[in-house]
Amino acid sequence: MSECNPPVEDVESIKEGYRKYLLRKTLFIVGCCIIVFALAGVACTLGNRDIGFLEVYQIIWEHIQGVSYEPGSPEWWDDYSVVNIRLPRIVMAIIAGMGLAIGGVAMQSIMSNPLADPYTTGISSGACFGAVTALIMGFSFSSILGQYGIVTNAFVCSLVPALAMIFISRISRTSPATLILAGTALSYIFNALTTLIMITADDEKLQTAYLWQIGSFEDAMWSEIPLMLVVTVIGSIFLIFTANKLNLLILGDESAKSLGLDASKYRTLCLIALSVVTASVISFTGIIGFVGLVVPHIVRMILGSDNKFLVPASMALGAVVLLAADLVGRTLTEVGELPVGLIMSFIGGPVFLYIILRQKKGYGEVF
Amino acid sequence: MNRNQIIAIAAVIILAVAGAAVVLVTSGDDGPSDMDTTGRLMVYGNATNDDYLDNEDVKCLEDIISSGTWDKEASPLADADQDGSITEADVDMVKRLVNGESMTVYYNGYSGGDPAICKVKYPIVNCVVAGTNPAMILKSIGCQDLVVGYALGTSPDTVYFSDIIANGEAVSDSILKVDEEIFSELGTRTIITQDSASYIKNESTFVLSGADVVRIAASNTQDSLSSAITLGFLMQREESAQAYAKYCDDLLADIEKKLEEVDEKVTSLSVTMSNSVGGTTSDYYDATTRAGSINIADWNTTTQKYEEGAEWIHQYPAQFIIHARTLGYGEIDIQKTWTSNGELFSDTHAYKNGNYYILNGNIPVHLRVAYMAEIFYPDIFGEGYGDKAHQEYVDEFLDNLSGKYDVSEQFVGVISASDVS
Repeated sequence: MSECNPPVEDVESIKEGYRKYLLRKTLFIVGCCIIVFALAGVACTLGNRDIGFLEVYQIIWEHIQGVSYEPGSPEWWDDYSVVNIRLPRIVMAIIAGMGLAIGGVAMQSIMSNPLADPYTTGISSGACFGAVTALIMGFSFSSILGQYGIVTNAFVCSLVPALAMIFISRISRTSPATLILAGTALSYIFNALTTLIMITADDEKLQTAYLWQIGSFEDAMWSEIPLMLVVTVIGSIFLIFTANKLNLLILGDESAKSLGLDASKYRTLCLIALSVVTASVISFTGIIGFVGLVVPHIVRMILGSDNKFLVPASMALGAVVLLAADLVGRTLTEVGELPVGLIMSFIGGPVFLYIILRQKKGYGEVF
Repeated sequence: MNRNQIIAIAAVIILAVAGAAVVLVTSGDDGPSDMDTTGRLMVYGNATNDDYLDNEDVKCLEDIISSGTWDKEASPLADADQDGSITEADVDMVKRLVNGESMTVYYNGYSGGDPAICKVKYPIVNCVVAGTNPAMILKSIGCQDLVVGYALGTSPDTVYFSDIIANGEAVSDSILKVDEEIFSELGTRTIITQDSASYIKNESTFVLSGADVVRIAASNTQDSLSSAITLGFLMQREESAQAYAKYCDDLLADIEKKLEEVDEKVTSLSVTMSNSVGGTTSDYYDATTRAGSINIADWNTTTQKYEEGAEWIHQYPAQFIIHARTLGYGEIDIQKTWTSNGELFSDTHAYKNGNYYILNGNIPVHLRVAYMAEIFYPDIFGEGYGDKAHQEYVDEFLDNLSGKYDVSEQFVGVISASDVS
């Protein structure tokens, strides 16, 4: 045995430590998945038909097995209610939580800034502008108006500031801080345009436009899920498989370059991925804040900053947070419900403040 | 004149009087079949193409079969089972329908906003209603007790619909939607709603469950009567539906008769919601013309939005603007209603001349016509014409308000410049 090799006890203790490290992370992710599973069951019991917690899982299981019922029978309505009315909302909340959380992780990493979130590039302002254009002016990029016209507009317009940011980052090789400032400027421009349209709207349209901006999972449908799901899955696979590069990017562009990473190119790829993921989510749900900001911070506090684990763990916690927030919004009032975007603003603000104040490290040292 | 001649004349007179009495009495026994033959019962099997489905239709079908010729113009609704030909099966089906037996019947309804041949399980024993106009028809034909669920918007008229609200369950806070889960708990299989496709966009769910979505035209004078008669038949409330139709027919006939006295017709425009000026296909366009005015709108879309400062409305200098708003049977802040609605039109010719009127739109369309006729021609119709017709309607057809609601005191039918400061 060479002298520079550590003693066997030390190797074992390092291995043991690493196993614990891995176990902790795995437990966290598995724990989040179990919570999502349980919360989904609880959320599935909410509705105008009385369906119990365990009954929900039974109905879903029987549906998967292809059990069919006589149309209009109580069993048929139970199945229909759970599968076609309640589940889409839950699945949407899970995907939105995952999508916005990885958007936050990616943005904070590529910008090396703890205050960055998926909306830093101005995506939300672009989406608002698109939706408001459809809702108030009746203009749509798609041939059909109505719900799909709003979604198309929000999606297309949310990518405009994102593309502008990517363009800026490619042509001027600017620093992350400049990119954030550019994103802020773009947000202001789109906000101004949105306000300009809104001041011309009547009360009814103004209310609709405003409610859209708050963000909600109400009236979610299965037809809205595929795009969100596919984009989020592709985006998350990309980030998980390139997590090591994301780790390098946090060290700064120069260090990343010295370790063989084309920081600018990778940042652009990340920007494209997170922009499309975020746009695909918010164009269906409206603007839901704080998930992308708070969730990655909580996960970092518990599991550290290794993006290999941070990305999947944030996805899992993002799903928990949004599902729980939606559940709170639906149960808090007896009449109607509070939009999830509003609940997130109520919860997200104080939680974020708590995290910042609780940090023993200095501000910005969280990475 | 000898005694025999006097007896013979007396016998002839007695026979004539007795005969006339028999005719009158037996015509009453036949039901309302002789009252109207305008073909408004849109149920297939109505071979005589009138307002009723009775033994006359059976006879008509038998005649078609025996003659071997089917005059589709005279009997467009003869094919009861919709198999394309008139056979014994149609006769049998109509006989069973006359007896009130349960079955699937075909009727002229709406699908996706367009007229279509639809089917529904007969009889409709209870239903969910979505939309204020269909709900008004159901109440007018005495079917309020069959309504187990309602979608009448966020703030339904709690006076007019008090019975429906008390006995039924709200299935949505929007008139355009019915919550599937609430519907599933109500023990009904029928939804009655407006013809427009924007109502009940989730229709496919109900169709999947085996429920029927019956779409009716409820805001046009003639179509709403046809809908009332058809629903009356489908819900086995023929008598009250026919009585309502007769009341509306009589009212329209009276208006028409009075309008004959008009020398020069006034011009008008109609407005719905906050700023939607009705075009030639609008129901309010039809109502204003039935009230004797010349509606000068010339665009073919249902409505055209008028925004503040827009110049186009000045190209239509109507003498009257009738602005229909959802005001209901309850208390109304007249001044506030006037200001919030009228301000936009304050620059128009009609408003400046004191001829901008806000009409309470929460009444059957025939009553709206009566109120409008009174507005256009006060000298001919006299003050209170609309209220009088309305009071008759309330007392005869609204069980929950009959004898308790004084239209002239409690209902604000029209708001004019003279009502506000």
